[in-house]
Amino acid sequence: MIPAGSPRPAILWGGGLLLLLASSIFSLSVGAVWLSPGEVLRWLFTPDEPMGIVVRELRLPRTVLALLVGAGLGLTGAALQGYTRNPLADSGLLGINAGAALGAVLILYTGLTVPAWKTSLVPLGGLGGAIATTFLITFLAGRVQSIQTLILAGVAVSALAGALTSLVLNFSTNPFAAQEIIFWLLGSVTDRGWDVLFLAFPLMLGGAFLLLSSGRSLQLLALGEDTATTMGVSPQRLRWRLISGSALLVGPATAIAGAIGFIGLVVPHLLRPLVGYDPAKLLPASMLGGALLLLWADLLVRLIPIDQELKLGVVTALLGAPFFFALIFRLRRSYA
Amino acid sequence: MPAFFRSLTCLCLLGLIWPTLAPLIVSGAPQRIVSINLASDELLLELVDFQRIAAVSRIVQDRELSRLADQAASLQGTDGSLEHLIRLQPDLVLVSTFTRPRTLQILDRLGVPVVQVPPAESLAEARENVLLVARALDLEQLGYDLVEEMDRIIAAVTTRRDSSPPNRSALILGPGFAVYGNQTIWGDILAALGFVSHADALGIKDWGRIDLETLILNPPDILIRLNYHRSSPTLGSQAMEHRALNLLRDDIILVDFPLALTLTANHLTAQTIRELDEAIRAATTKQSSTYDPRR
Repeated sequence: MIPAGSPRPAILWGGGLLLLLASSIFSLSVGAVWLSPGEVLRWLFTPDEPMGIVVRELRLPRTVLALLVGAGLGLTGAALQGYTRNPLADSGLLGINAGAALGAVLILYTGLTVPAWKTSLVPLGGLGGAIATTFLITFLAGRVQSIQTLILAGVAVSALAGALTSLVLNFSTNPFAAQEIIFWLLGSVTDRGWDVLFLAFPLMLGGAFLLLSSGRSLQLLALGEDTATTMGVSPQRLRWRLISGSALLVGPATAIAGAIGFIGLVVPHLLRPLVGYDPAKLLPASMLGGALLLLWADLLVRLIPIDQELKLGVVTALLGAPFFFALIFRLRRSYA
Repeated sequence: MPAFFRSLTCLCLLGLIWPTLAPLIVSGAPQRIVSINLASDELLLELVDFQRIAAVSRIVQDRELSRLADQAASLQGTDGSLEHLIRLQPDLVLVSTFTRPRTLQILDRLGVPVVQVPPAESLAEARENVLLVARALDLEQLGYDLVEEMDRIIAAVTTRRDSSPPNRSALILGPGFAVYGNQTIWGDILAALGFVSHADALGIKDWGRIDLETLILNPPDILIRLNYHRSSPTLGSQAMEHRALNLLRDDIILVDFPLALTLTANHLTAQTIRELDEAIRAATTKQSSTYDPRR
């Protein structure tokens, strides 16, 4: 427990936000042409020149999207780990990512669209897939809905959604569509426009609100389900809030950026000691940490000099796997 | 019936059916042709009667991938699997050079003649492929006629282009931001249209991918976007219709062209050149930037 009046949270938050600002400016500077911070500022307000178009229409939405998706994944991971009291919980474990990916892939495959809309329905497809997954998990987990059955239901739904996504790819007769889907599934925030961001942002904001407002309940839940119930926490209502919030955050995020894993798993683990293992404080901290981690991963994508675009989901997986090796060795040492 | 009259009857019957049988027996022309390669599918549809076609690839029957989808709709489609090929009992199979070696092995063991049609990276190679397939079908003269027609169409485009501004650069942008350079058929296509390939300036000789930022900072005079699935947005079309590109409309000429008209390098490449020429002229005069001659 951090003593009252300790400057540490202020320093941590101040430092984190400063790092976020610096990383964002760096993200706007990096690309085919390197810009200084001053030049970034100049081109931000000169939209008619090609470089201005590059900064405002390409680099800025890319940076914002990386921050938004990272924040959403980090927050979801922290919330689900707090609820399930399982360090391996995140939206991927509960099948929400796989459901969102399936929803988006179905829209891509069928070409479903609203003629009056210029923007693709993919973000809504992702949300639809995430919501459908939510209902399915809840149905499978049954009335009792213990945490173990919830996790098992999530694993089963994740496997089903993954199989159905592969089936869609299997049936794709158009090799270009199949290639696009495969590359999209690897995860990327490259060349996305403001239109998809504007579509996704309100949904993700709603999801963030649902999860952030669950902080107090998660704190009480850490004392045990029975104790939490006696102190006024309704486990069913909390479960609905968390799963709905996760669907609203993860659905559109996955639909726009593809399957990006490990952020929701790794970030809460890294930040938990810094917030005194408080599940409520971990929520906003994981938002900040998730945003930073995904932005840095995207910077790596742009800085590593290879001809083919390195996909964001590949980078996060390559970063996340060693983390789990380290976790395993630490656990083995503690058991020994 | 006395033997003399039997012989006479047989001779008369033979005389009646000989004009029909003779070309087939004397030339040995294949009667159950299967093609599992889009380029040779399209050649086959052009050169022979449908009765001689046992099957074509399913790709040629897809409107998003082939300009002859409507013509090929009534034919048997095949996915090119060995089992299906064997069941079709072909007497000639047209394949690409990327066909699985196992397929070629088994067909060889069964004594089925196979003609491998290599991908054409130039108009000269496209002409060679037309003649290659025409010879395999025992229709060499028809092949020469097709080549002549190709050259006539391209010459007409070349004559028209002389009135256009010189040395304009053009870039072909395919799904996934694929870019095609001079060492592909696109080099000859752009040359026939009178353009310099912008892929050279981007350092792409053969095939590669670029990002939107590179394209915006180093734009061509003409950007030809190849698109499929025009009825609804795809990931690729969304990226290619990114606001950032559309903001450059005053500086570059944007042309949307169906991918289905560009996937093969054969006799139809000449038509593609003509259609591209029309599309670019329409876009230049701001009549339209979206072109589809199939509508």
